Amino acid sequence: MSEENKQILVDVHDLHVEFDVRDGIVHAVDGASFKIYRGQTLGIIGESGCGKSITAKAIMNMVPKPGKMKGEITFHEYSKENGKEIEEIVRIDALPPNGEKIRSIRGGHIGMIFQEPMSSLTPVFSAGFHIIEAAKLHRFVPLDTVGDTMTKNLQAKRKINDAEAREIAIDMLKRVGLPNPEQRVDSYPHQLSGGQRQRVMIAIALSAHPDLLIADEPTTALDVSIEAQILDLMRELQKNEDMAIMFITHNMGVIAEIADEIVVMYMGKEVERADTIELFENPQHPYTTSLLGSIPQIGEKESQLETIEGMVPSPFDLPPGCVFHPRCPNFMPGKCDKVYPEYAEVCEGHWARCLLYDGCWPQTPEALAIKAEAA
Amino acid sequence: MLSFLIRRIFYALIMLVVVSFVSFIIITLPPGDFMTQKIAELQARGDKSAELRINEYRERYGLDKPLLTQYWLWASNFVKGDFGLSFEYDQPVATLLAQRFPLSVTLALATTAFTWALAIPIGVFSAVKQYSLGDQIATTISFLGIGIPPFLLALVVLYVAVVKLDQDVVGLFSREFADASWSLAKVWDLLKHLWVPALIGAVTGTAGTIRIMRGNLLDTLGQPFIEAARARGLKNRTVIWRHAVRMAINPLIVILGTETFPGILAGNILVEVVLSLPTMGPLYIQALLTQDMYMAGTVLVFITMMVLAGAVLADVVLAWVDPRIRLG
Amino acid sequence: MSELEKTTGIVEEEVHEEQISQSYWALVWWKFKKNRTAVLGAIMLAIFYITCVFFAEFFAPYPKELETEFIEARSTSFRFIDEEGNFSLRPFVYGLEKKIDKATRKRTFEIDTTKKYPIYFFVKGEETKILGFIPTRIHLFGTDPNDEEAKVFIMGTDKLGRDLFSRILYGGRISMFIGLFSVTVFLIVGVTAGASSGYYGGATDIIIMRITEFLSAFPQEPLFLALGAAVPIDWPPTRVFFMVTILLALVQWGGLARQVRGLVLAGREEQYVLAAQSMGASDRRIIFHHLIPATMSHVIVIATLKIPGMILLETALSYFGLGLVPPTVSWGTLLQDANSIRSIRFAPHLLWTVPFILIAILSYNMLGDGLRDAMDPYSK
Repeated sequence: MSEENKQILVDVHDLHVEFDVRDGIVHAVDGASFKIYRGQTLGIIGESGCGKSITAKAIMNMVPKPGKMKGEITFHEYSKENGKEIEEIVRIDALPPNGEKIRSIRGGHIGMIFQEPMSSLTPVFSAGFHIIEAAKLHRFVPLDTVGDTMTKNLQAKRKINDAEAREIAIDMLKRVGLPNPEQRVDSYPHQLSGGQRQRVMIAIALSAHPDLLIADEPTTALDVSIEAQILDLMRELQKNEDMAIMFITHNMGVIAEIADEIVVMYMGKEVERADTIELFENPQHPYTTSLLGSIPQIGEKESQLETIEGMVPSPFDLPPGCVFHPRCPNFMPGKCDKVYPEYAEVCEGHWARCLLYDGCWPQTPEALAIKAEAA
Repeated sequence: MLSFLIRRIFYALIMLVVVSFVSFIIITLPPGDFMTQKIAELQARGDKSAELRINEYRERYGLDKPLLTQYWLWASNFVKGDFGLSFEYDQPVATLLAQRFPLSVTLALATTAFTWALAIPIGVFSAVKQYSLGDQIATTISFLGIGIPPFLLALVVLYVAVVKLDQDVVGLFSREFADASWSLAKVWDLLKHLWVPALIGAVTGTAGTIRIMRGNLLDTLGQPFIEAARARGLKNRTVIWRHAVRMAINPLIVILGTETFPGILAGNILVEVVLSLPTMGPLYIQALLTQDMYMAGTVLVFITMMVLAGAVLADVVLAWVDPRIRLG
Repeated sequence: MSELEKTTGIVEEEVHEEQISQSYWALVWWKFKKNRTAVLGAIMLAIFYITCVFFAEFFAPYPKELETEFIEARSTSFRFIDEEGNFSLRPFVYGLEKKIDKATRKRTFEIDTTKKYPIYFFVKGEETKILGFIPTRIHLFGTDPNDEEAKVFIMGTDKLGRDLFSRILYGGRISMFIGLFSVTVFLIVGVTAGASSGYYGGATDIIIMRITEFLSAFPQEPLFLALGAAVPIDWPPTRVFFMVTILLALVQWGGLARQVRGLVLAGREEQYVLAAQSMGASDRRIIFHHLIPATMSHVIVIATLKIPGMILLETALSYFGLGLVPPTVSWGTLLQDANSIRSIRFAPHLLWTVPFILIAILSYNMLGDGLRDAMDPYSK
């Protein structure tokens, strides 16, 4: 994937998602900004509850109540008309959550697969039914035209019918590597294994040839060997379909394999973003370093598993200044507990949110005073 | 699936036999021999052949034989379609029930249909628009509805209709059609009268079903597959009715068979008496009062049959509707 | 400021943590109090118990058997302003006068504005015994005891000229008592059966469960009616009363037994039971001292919510003329007077019993629901 081909697909700018609950306001996502490019894989990593899933749902404008979304999410819709490629820019955050436009994007241009494939399929419907349902919603076929010249400029489309949908379903199951697709298409979720169900989910998501596949911890509930198969499948499909992937996980090993660029999140905030190799070789944020340090290495003898000290704080009782400071190995007293660092480009294409780097200090008089005093 | 069905029916039949035996015993419990009383009564009226006839019945039904024999005679005749003789009306029970039993079934089915037709939409609405004004109203009404017994409601309706509106809501047919033979017009007449007792009988069931539907749907809506369905771009309405309600309704089918339908059958007896409907209920009560044992016993068995049939039917429908049960 | 404060600027707050340790029942009571419907239900039930069950003799102006000449008369209500517009602080009622409609030959009683009977409170009336042993002549309200003709029927009279309001109060005593007694029997039988079934398992369990299964195949009301009809009519009322009570419990205990069995099965595996067993506690002790109290919260709710059903079943039974029959006064026998179109049309006041039954049932339901919410550890 060369630099020049980078066409932007999704642009998330300063995303905030708040939940107003009885005990206070929870900032599930606090200022996330990143871009997803066509054909590229963006990985989002962080501990449980750090806001990764909510970010994904926000992109689909599916934030559950009582959540409120603020910020800009722009989707670039590419379509072919008359042989030319057209780009339409859609502000997802401005769309009505149940309107026709967002619903054509959901499942159509953006597909999503979930962590628990068993509970993500409706138990009373067959695998094929799910795919057919999605296909009939999003797949179109050009209307058979009689008089060419008159209708050449009219790209009329019609929705597919049942027979065509069923064919698509069987084809999709074949493509995700499910054996015996003609029979499996009528199987019910409880008759399939975990790995098979996840393949079905992928088939459903891919049935409309989406531009972006959001995968929310897709392999967390699977055995390691099945996990490897699913990851291979996703990579292959991405290549064939020229599809972008947003891969969410808490597993550093998995994300290293699949992502081109990685975003690290902590307590709803982006703390680091870089290309995968750059991130692993040159982590800038202490949290990322700690995460990398905690990966057990086969073949290396250590006496203890390295952990990150302390616990994730309660969302209603966030520490002042940098939220990570109570657990940070590089904690600077007087600075980290007073000043909230900004997100800045520390090296080229590599962003971090840490007071270790000059560029992350906010340019306010108070912050500068503290910086000077401690120097 | 077929073996499942056969097993359930077989089990229900066994229950039916046991129940019929116990019913028979219960019905014959009241002391006093109806026969001697009846003979005295008839003789007082100058009916000379009475004694002969009654002795004939004594023979046929073994009334002076031990209880077990009596039961055996009755039961063996029962399966042949001879349900015994009603002493009160001096007619075979079968004749008397011929019209009434189908009407009872029709009323029960109509009441059940009303219950579900009202409860499901209201329950879905209540769950989807949780805590809205409509939900609060529905919850309050269903709360009250559970507390109001159909038979008292029938009395109140009767009062309002008779005293305030001067309407005649008694019975299931207008006078012209009561004894007429069946015709389209008669069916229409029946429908016109049927909705009152059906609605009354549906009150309690509706209230309970609304609450259960609401609870189930709320639980279902929180499940991951609902979110997954939304993520596929389905309309809200489709997600709710095709996926959520479809799943939430399964326990309700079970409840329909085990609680709703039997409740309707039992409760309707009282409503039928209050409104003087030409169904089995009033006949049953009368039989109990006059110790008309074959009539009472037969009606009890019939009602039990309907209850068991309802339960089996509910199981069958559930298996048909839920592939997890059907395919194991 | 403290050392810590000087170096880091962090002020340690004194955190007051009030450790309120409350017992389970105290929590239940507190939650129950917050539920206004439940409290309302409880209050209404208390009113019923006071007026009908315990002190009916005081609240009712007339004894239940007193017959008068005013047959099926309409109710005479309290008034404060008379025909001429005179206001009097003391309420009064108009008298009744017999009228015979020459055309239909019906006898009715119309309000006669010429006769005014003032109402006195805490008035001396007929001699009665409260609760059966405290003699008194005082009633809550009534007409002038010296005036033979003065009568007040706030809910009209029945076909023997008896004051309906008084009879409703006395009837409430029987009906509410039956509810309470039968639920007690129901509890004893159901809990014992369910607990034994769940704890001992094996043959006991199978037998008891088969019995309950069989019972549940019977439609409850028709079964109960049939059993009620089996009660001999010539038995004295008290015996009938007890018989009806037992029958009510008999028909319904199955459901409770099954629920208790489930709870006991779950509770049996708990650690504290194993501990008790290892210390040599007898089976009986474990069942009664440990397992059953654990099920109490569920059982109480079930029992409270069963009471209205039982009251209703008894009412239905007497309404049909089975079980309790006149001259016994229960809400069911009172309703019997209103069981024909004729009565409803010409003496609709006889239906006054219905709202009483409805409110009693509603109150029990509100109370039961409130108890259930209060005992549920997961509710807000």
